Amino acid sequence: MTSDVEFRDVSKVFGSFLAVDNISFSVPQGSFFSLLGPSGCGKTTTLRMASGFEWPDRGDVVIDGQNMHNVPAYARPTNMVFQRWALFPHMTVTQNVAFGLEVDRRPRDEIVRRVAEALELVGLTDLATRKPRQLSGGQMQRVALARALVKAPKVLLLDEPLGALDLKLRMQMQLELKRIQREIGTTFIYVTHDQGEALTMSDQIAVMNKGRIDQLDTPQAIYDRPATRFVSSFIGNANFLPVDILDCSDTVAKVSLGGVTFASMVNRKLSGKSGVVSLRHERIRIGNEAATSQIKTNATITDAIFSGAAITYVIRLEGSDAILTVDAPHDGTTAPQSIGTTVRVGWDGDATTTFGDRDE
Amino acid sequence: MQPARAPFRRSSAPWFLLLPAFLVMAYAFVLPMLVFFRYSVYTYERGKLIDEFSLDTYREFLTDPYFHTIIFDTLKVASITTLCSVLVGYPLAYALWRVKSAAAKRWLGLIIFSPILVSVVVRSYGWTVLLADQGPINWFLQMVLGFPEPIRLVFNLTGVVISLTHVFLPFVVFPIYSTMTRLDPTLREAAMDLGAGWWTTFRRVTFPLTLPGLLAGAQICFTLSLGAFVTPSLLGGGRVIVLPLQVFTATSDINWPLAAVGGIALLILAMLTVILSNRLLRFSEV
Ligand SMILES: Nc1ncnc2c1ncn2[C@@H]1O[C@H](COP(=O)(O)OP(=O)(O)OP(=O)(O)O)[C@@H](O)[C@H]1O
Ligand SMILES: [Mg+2]
Repeated sequence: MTSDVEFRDVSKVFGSFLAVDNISFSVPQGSFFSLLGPSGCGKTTTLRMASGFEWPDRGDVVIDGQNMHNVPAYARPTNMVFQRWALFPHMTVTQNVAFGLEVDRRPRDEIVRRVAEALELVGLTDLATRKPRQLSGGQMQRVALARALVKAPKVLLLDEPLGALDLKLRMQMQLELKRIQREIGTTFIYVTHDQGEALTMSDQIAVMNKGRIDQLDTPQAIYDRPATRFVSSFIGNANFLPVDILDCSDTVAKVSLGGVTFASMVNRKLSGKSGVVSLRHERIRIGNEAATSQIKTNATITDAIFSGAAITYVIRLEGSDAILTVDAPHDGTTAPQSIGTTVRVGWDGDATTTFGDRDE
Repeated sequence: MQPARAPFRRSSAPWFLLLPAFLVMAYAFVLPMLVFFRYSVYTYERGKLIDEFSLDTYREFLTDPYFHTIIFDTLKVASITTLCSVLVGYPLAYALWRVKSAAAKRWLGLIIFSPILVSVVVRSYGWTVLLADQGPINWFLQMVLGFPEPIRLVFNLTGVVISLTHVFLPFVVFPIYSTMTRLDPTLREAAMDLGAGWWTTFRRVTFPLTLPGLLAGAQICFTLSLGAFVTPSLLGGGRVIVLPLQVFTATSDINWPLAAVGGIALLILAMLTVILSNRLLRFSEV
């Protein structure tokens, strides 16, 4: 598969602040690629270097096989959907969408046809004559999308386009974005700090932390095999517990958690005698469910929080007194555990990852 | 269905807040206006005020070609000044907006603002010296560029327009500048992202969105120019008679009715300007 966008050892400094620190990645043609990370980690800066609004201080940005070293924003085969959409307030929906084609001096009938197609694609045909201030947030979002897509870019860049929408609408737009992406087959680079959004939509996710890419993989691999402690804590919900490392190979470590010994995954051979194990909330089984787990022990329920589809328990492990949070599905088949009772809990060793003491 | 009306207390609050302003207006504007109108319907003959109702002064004002020239010159001075101010002021506002360094911005702002800080009389005499036949500008034109004769830059329309443009520049620059700073910077990026270069971005996005500021500035400049008195009298050298000068002359001749009619003409011109520019403003706003 050929790659549409490639970053080669790209760095960017603002004054003395290193915003993007030597990152490299390549985005396969037609894929949905997400840059995911906490606020201030350099996602927008990375995206702006692809669009041509920022220039890398070191390294190369290659788009569609061409080095973008001297190519200004208006000449790049990319288009952007801005965080607050940046619609032209003095133009109607149609005029907004037609802008990019008019600038390119396309023939009038072609503009009319392509604008109509783009509005059709995002379902805005009925609102074509409205001004942006007469639209709802979701509708403005669609206009911004149509305006960028009408130019048939090689790569569509999206900077948290759903950030300003409410939760319900955001879910709906996620599905819609994914549908549109599949329909037109354009490469999407999607910036978000919302892990759920990245996990649902992406073919590949690059998890960024402090200007670096910590892990670049498929959503499932990132969720199941976090490469760093940061990734493990940023994506999903995990318990981090100190453990003794009894033995360690390149891939597996034998660890002890207050007397409970099990084999946990590691990303590299850990040299220290102690480490931190990451145990995902929903990977811990409780009560009868625990019977099939590889590792089993007893725990006391100290708190239970009901939240509809799941019950969140806070438990104290026997022996180590470690406090864990557990998410158990609430499917009506078992009665919720009551506070103060002692229950069986269990987990599978390969669902855990152990990191070194000083790993980030 | 009728749109719901706001509760009385809420909708009336702004009126209470306006009360002090109304009182000041009533005393300082409406009352004098009434006096004004009264005098305008009197006549003045052979050094005497005749206080009987008559529209003769109006008739004289509207039919005498002498007054036509004055009205025409007033509008001409105001129009040319406004045009020049806008032509100089818009790029200046743009530069002030695009300048990156805060220090440069402060200095530029101060320079633009400076004409207001200098007394109008001092400034006018300054211009008289600068623009005189023996002044530095004419020296430059003759000595360096080889003009055979000095260009008359002062004691005519040119001098008045130059000086008025200078002093009204801040009133044009700041409304434009303020619409520019309120412009969402990502709009320009969006335009460029869609393939527009600098010029297209300016023509299709920046300019239309700053047009309200430009119109507001032009309106202020035009109305101020209509009422300008000191500058035309000092730099016009008696050759540029505008309405305020005519009013002043009539007043010093104690020809109150003629002064009143001139004042009313000025007021009507100013009101027409406001109405016209409000129309344009509404049209230009998104
Ligand atoms: N023009 C700039 N000048 C100076 N510092 C900047 C500039 N732009 C970004 N930064 C800094 O670079 C870092 C990365 O910024 P960036 O906008 O890429 O973050 P982000 O990952 O998009 O965050 P968010 O999720 O909050 O949008 C931040 O610490 C920010 O303060
Ligand atoms: Mg950002």
